[in-house]
Amino acid sequence: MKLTLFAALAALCVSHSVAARTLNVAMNGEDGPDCGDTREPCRTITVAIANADGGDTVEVGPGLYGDLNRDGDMNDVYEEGALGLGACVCAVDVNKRVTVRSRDGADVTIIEAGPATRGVRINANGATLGATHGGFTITGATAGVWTPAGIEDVRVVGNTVRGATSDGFFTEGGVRYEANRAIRNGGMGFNSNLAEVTVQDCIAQSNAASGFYFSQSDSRVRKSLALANGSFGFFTLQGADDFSGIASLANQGGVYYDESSDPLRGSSVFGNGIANASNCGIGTNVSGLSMPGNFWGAATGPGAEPADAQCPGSADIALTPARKTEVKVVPKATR
Amino acid sequence: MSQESLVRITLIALWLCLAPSLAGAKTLNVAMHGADSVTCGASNAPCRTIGRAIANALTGDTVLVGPGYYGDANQDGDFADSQDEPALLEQACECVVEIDKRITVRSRDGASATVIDARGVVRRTVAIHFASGATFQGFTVRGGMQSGVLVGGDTMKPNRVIGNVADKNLGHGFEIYADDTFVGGNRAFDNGGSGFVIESEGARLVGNAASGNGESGFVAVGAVDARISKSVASGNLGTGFSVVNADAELDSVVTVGNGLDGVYFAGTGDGRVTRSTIMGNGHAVSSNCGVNNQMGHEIVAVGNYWGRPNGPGPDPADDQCLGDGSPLDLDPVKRTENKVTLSAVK
Repeated sequence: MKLTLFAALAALCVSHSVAARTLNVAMNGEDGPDCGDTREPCRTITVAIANADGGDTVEVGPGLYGDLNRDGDMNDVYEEGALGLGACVCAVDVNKRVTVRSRDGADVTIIEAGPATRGVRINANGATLGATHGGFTITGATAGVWTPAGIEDVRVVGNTVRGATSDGFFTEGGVRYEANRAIRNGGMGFNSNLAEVTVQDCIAQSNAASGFYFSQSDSRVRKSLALANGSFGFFTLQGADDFSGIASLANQGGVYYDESSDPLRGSSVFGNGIANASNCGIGTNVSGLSMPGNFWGAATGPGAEPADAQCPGSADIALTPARKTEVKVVPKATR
Repeated sequence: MSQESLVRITLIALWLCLAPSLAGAKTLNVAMHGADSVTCGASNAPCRTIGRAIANALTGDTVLVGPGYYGDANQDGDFADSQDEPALLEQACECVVEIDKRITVRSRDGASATVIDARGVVRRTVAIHFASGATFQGFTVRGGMQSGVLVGGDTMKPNRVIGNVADKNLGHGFEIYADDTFVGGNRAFDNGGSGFVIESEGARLVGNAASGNGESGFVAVGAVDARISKSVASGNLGTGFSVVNADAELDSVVTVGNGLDGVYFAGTGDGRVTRSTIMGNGHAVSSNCGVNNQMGHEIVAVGNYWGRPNGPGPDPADDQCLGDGSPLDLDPVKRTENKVTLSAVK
């Protein structure tokens, strides 16, 4: 009886491990209905995803994918539009429960989306884009990584979005962001709308709008940094967003609570509001908020330069006792 | 002057020379909540600008920079406000930050969290200029009109550039003019010019990556004894690696997905490319050139992987492109990919 049970469990394990495959993509690959083996890699990520089944992994070698000759379309030889861009209008559509990751990391694995195209859409429950040292750099997109409404249990790990004309990462679905970077995008770094989101070890740097923006979301943000963004480092609108162990530095404003009231805890907020001479560390339109225990740039707490203070026009927030020393926030490094 | 006085004067002179090192190297701190003064730098009284801390530092000291945005702090297009780096526009470096002494300038939390921005109005973002044995480590440098980081001027000891990101400079990412410079673990992304430009003797580049630059990934022009290893050029608009009128050795490099040639040799001088991976190049002009030799003599190119087991050829491999009298010594070719794994840059 015991032996039979053991054999059945073993068979189940073996059949499961046989089922999950790794399909390879490389710049010396050739697309086809059977490509993906290590000796016969696919040339495009799109075809590897088409050949994959739920639970498979698509592993992408170093190089350039997408709009290879940067002519603004995706229909030239070896470009990602081999199967047509479809309704997604994106370079890569992750439309199955698969993991799509790079072999050598985001610094050397580039998805060039082109000026009229989104970077990556994640359109399947349970899908993953990237790994800690196995992400992608997405450049030239209208929006970098997009998760539509109704999609849940998505993980986005180790990716960088640079120079998108709108948001770096945008979601209306349930996403866990880990160790991603949003740099120099034309909109928000991370934009979450009506979503349940976890953010860990992420950086939003030099984006034109807010670094991290949450609208009617239920979010948990840890060990993440907003630096030199054109609006607030962190902004929450009508949400239940839990910020702890974050740093908001050198943004137009530090943190703003718009009809939101979850407290900011154990964080550093300083060097904000220099460009508009507002010295704006934190602001809200909600009365009676209390947020002690944060560092505002001076041992004495919030106040005049070099510390940050409450934003002009903000409802009063109880910020004392403040933390006397900096909370150091160093998100995990990726390659 | 008596002999005793002479000895005494000599001893005093020696003490004055050695005093800084005998006193022990200091760490001077910089933070966005600091305040500049001639004495700033202690951990409880950090400087506000990197330039002030460098001015306060002595040989052997370390300037440790906290996370934040340095340069044109209020982003009004000048460097004249109280929290701005005092850009050295009138001096030879024409830069936002100049390192002109044997010190280490490094960030506390890494390049992603520490930005120096020239905002496109200053010639260079950072210059290591007439320094010997200086180290610059762990910054994002952006917006230099000509380059992100310049290492120039005569030097007695090698300078080191480590773990930085040159991102979106109008010109090149890194320009190396000083001899024997070590450049390790840096990234050059989306610069208007090339990622790394070497025009010096004895430069050593290890573990760097250049992606998405408007010209080439790595360029050795007029360089002598340049060695580039364990580095990656991917998705640059021009060539991956260019060696022009230079002596340069490329070993264990990866050049993939660049718009023009994977590796380009031209002019006088000599070059080698060995134990490397060369594939997916030439898409901008449909050339499929993995290595283009226009030097007029044979180039050693052994141990390379060209995208298929039997060496260079048509797509999906890369091919060789040869000028008159410019063959490649190819054999043995590598049948499987040479992989280069870079260390993470914070």
